[in-house]
Amino acid sequence: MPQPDLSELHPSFTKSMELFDRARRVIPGGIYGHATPALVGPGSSPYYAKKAKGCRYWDVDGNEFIDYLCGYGPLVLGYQNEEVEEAAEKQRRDGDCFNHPGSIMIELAERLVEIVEFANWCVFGKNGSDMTTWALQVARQHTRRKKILMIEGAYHGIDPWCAPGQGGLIEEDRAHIHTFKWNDPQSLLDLVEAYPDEIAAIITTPYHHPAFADSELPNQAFLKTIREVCDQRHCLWILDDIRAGFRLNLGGSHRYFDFTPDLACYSKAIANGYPLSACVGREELKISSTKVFLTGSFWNCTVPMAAALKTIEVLERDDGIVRIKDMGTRLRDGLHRSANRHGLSITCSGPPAIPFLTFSNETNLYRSQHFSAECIKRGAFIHPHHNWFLSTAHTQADIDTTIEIADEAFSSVKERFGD
Amino acid sequence: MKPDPETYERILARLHLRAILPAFADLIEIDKNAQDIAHKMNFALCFRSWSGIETLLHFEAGKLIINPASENLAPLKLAFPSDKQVNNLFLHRAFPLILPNWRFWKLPKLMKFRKLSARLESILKSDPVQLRSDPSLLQTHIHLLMGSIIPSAFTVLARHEIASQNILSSQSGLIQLQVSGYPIRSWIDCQDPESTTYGSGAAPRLPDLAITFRDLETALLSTRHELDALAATSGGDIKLEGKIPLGDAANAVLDRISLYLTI
Repeated sequence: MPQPDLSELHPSFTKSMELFDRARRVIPGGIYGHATPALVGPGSSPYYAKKAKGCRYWDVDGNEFIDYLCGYGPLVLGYQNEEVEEAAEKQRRDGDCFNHPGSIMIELAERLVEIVEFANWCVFGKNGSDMTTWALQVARQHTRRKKILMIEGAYHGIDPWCAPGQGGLIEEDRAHIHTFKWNDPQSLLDLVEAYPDEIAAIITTPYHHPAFADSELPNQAFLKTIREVCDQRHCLWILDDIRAGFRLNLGGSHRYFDFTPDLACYSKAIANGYPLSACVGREELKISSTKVFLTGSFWNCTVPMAAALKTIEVLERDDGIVRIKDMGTRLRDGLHRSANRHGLSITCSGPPAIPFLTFSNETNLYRSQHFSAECIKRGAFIHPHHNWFLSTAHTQADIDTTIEIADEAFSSVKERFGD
Repeated sequence: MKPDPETYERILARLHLRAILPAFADLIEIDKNAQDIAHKMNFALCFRSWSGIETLLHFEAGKLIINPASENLAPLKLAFPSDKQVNNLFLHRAFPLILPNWRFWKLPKLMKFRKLSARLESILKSDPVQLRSDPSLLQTHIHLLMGSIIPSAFTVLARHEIASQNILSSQSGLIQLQVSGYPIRSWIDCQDPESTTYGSGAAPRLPDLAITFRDLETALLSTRHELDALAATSGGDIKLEGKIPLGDAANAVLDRISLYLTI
């Protein structure tokens, strides 16, 4: 069995490891959640970041990386975007956390309602889970039904109805959550037949982006079936656009794939790294939404809202989404060319702006893990198990450098594993 | 979450008969004291619960074969009228009711088996201070757990416990468990929960997931549920290679073993 000697791959993660030794004494897991090094490649990737600018960041050991995680999505304009930082700083000087919301909250709600064509209202939170869970409650309130249908293997946050793993969960948490398969209309229709008048909502992402597996784009028949079920059964379609929102289409990823949900949840890229999430909805749901309690200690903070307004403005003005798509396409094409040259068969799934690379017909991920470690070693931070993200800060030169790095990494994969 | 009392007794009885009893074979392989006890043991012993679970131990010339193919052994049969009675015996919980009658325990053969049982129990129940002060004892302890009891207990849960089957419903594959630098290896092949199998030694093919413990101490902490597994994995004390979601599912099942067995 292949046993990569990671000690040779990463001569300079000493400070990361020292910090981690301190961390694990006082923080369960040392680093928990999606950022845990256990998921990236323990010992072969940095654990702690020090600074970042554009599409690059530096870890605590001084290693520099071209970044393809973008903070796991938020940095759509790149790190430390000057215009966003200036807007946030300006707001910060006036204050961030008050007794009351700032007028900027109305301004941002108006902007989101303007750009998301089906939306008539908007609320705000901090993280994706805040909004997906609240949207479920709104759907239950509106329909007076219990059942929620979701895609098998989809991630919608950390609340008990959807959290990955088993810890602390009881059967009752998911007693009314049922799963169906992506791009399989019949599996949805089977659930509809089983619970004809009990379904409050169907929650989906705009495309399927499970960890550890290829992303899957939707087929039109599948999307059409979801919409028809919702219309015929008077249940709601909740779009979890947390991960893809503001990277595929400024008006929401449903426009990229041509469908219309009833509620949509955003976070990540909405404020270029500042903590903010939002849920928008149709007019008919507005009264129901007022009946579901919604608040949080920092949910009215104004600085993230100022950052969001500027992020949307810059994305629109600079045609940022087209730029990200172009860079993603350049990266994807380059990776394919390089892999082909080495006789390796790869899959680059997902939209070009949010790509994910796997080695074809590999289920155990050994090649992916080795490829990732080799890229990180050479200065391109990619994830072996989670989709990547591009930003407007990635230049052609960055992409070309990354393809050169990937070429060496493919060579190493070929040497260790063969075809 | 905790199983209901009926499930608890049913699964625990399977664990005793299918995971603990087979460990005697490994004990005799690796432990000198056990070898001395088993040296002249030449008989077959069958444990059977009313629910049909049965394990046959065939001692011969210092070796132990579990569930041998031969049908001509005429084993001494210990039949238990309920799963709870099986568990009473293993847990010393109450005086166990064994059919046809308790006199069998007075037979010299069974006295030898009891001696062997005491040896197994003393190794498994050794306290951490004792284990850490005796490297050989620690290695034997971990060998019995990781090389035998844990994979077999995993298999029992995968095959018979609904909660574990639900956990494994979306994950499948071959798992290798090993301790770096020691000949302690076992594997679990879980393509489908109900047909899960296990074995000792190297996996029969490239595993989908390899879990390697840095040393015996890490393995000890892990088996005692005293290890921050996430930190240990990030810090390199546990090395996970391959299909990580399978590891998450396996870990959740392994965690459930402690609902039944307190080793």
